[in-house]
Amino acid sequence: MGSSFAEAKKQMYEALEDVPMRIGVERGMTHFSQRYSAVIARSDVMELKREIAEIRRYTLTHIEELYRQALEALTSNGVGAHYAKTKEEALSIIGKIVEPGELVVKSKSLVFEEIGLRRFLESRGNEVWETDLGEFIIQLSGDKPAQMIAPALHIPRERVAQLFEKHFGRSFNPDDLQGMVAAAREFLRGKIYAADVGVTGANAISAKEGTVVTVENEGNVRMTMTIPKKHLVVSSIDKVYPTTLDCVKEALAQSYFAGYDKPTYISLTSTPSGTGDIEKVIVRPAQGSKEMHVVLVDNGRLQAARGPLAGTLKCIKCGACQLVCPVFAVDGPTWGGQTYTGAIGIVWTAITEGVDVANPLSYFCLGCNACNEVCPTGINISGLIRWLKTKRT
Amino acid sequence: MPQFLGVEDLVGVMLQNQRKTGNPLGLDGARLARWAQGLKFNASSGTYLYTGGLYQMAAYIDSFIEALERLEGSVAGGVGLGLVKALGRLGINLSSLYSSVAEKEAVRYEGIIRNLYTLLVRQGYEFGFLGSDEQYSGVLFYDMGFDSEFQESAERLTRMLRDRGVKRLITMDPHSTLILKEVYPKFVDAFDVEVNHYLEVLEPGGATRSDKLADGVFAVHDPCLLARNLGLSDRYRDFALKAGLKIAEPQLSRRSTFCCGGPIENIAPRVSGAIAEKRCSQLGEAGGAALVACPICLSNLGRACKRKGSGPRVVDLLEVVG
Repeated sequence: MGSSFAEAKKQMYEALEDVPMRIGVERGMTHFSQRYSAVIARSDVMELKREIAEIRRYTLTHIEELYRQALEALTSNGVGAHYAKTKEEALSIIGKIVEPGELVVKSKSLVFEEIGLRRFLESRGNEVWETDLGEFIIQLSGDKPAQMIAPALHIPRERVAQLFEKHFGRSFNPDDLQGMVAAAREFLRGKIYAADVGVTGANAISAKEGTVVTVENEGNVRMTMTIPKKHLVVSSIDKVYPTTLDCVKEALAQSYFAGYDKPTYISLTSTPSGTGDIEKVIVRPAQGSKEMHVVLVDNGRLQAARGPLAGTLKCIKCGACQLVCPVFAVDGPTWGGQTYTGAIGIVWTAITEGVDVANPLSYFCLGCNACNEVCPTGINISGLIRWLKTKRT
Repeated sequence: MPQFLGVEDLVGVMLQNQRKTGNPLGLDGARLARWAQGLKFNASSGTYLYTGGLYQMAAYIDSFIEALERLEGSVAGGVGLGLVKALGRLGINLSSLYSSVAEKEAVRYEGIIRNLYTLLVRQGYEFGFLGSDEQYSGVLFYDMGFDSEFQESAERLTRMLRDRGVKRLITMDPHSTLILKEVYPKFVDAFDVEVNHYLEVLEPGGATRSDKLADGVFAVHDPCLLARNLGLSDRYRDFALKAGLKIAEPQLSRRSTFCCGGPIENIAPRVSGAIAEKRCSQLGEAGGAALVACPICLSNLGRACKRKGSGPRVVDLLEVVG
């Protein structure tokens, strides 16, 4: 997105003419709306919403203490634990963990996009594959991710078929979704089994136990973290919660508010794999990873936690706010920064790329408060965007 | 590709108009007060009807946006950006842009305010009107993040309210209502004017269906702030149903309503229009005409539904009950 309002407006106007993007976003938002209505009608989901909002108020005010405690707990679990103040620092740490030439498979995480992880690894000669289907489509298209949970939301099935045809060298029927998913499954399983390093994000990390919690539906995260010999977790300091129980609540909330009635998999990972089955002597690895590393990226978050954009750090990245936003509905991911798009994504852009980048984008916000209405942790998203409007440079 | 003006220039045009005329479109006060001609007011209780000029200005917004786009277009046409900015700073006087279409719309919108007047009087309310001195609330400047400019407008209006001894305002659009209720107290010292939207004041059942426009089924469009911030969705429906209207719920309604796109019509009219067209489709699927209770929704959805050709007719609640 452009650096000035006029440039941003030009791109927003051009995006209005992008018919495939608009079809993709329209279909995605319609499906989300139907599923979301069913989920929020449940009393257990509403109870969880109250709990997670309370937990997030606590994590926001204790962010520094929590991430420091998590680093200690991870270290005592035998995990390589690192704090990275900037994205450059994060890449430098990762560069020491991942050897040049190693085959890397990744699950989906916006923090990877934020620090430019795939580009960095590829520039060092690593072969890198995205194992999440949406991210795999994005890898093939060269686009930026459209939305927090569904990175390929803006790519309709017809374009997916074209991208697959180019990659796999055979034709695909756009209405044969089963066939396209099967092709990706076969290809990516081959890469996962051959990979040296599996990189995952974390939905939440517990400060007390040093346990990494992930939630997913595809099954790719579990495979990515257990099959390669090295498991690298790259996450951010705002993802640290007091206890593992809080982390599981976060994982459930993220899944529900993304419109799913239940998550397929929630994984808890605390140490590299091992076994004590022969004479109670611990031997590593057993079936899972031999080494585990966690990098907690700051990239502006700690500073933001002390300022007017602090509320953003309560975000659990469910993406519900994007999928009810009228501006996102017509302009899709064009309304955003390099990584984060639409609604809360405009504020995340301010934190991770700078207020000067987010300010020109902020003026397209309608102030309609649709985002505030669905946010499970009660962030005043439109209020934060209005604050960005006051920061003219 | 056309070159676009910056936010400061676009909002600057409206700010200059506001400073000169008391409203961001540069309409003269007498025109904004024309709806009240021949009507009697009684301000002795300190209660006033506050229009904020929004219904009146909505009739001219189309011409205003065209003027802004022409200003932007002239950059592409070879006029230097500096000159355009200079022109922008002078403000745009709409008197040269009035078309017969805008004038016809103006009469329609004035009828909406007169209807509210009649409903209030029929339910026994006595109230005053600030006439051609009535000032715009400044809500647009707040929404665009121009806080010191908003403060200027808020203080100007507050001075007038204090000078006239205003104790209570009955408002008619969600934007002016919310800004006066929730934001003025944060920007103006000791702002203690009571603010009530007409749907809070009028008793449902006190109005009847107006036969001319009210046949058929109305898809209810909840204005965002009316539903989410003022909590008046039930009252809005009660009012329509008890007046004898048949209503239908669109795909997204009440607190889950979908914005008309209006709030960014001045700065990004094509994005605003695309959002409005999307909402028109949703309302059209619910059947019949579309019912709104906000001048911004009325003008933005009305224009978009006309552009779509097959879109529903858009009417304000105050056009179909009387």
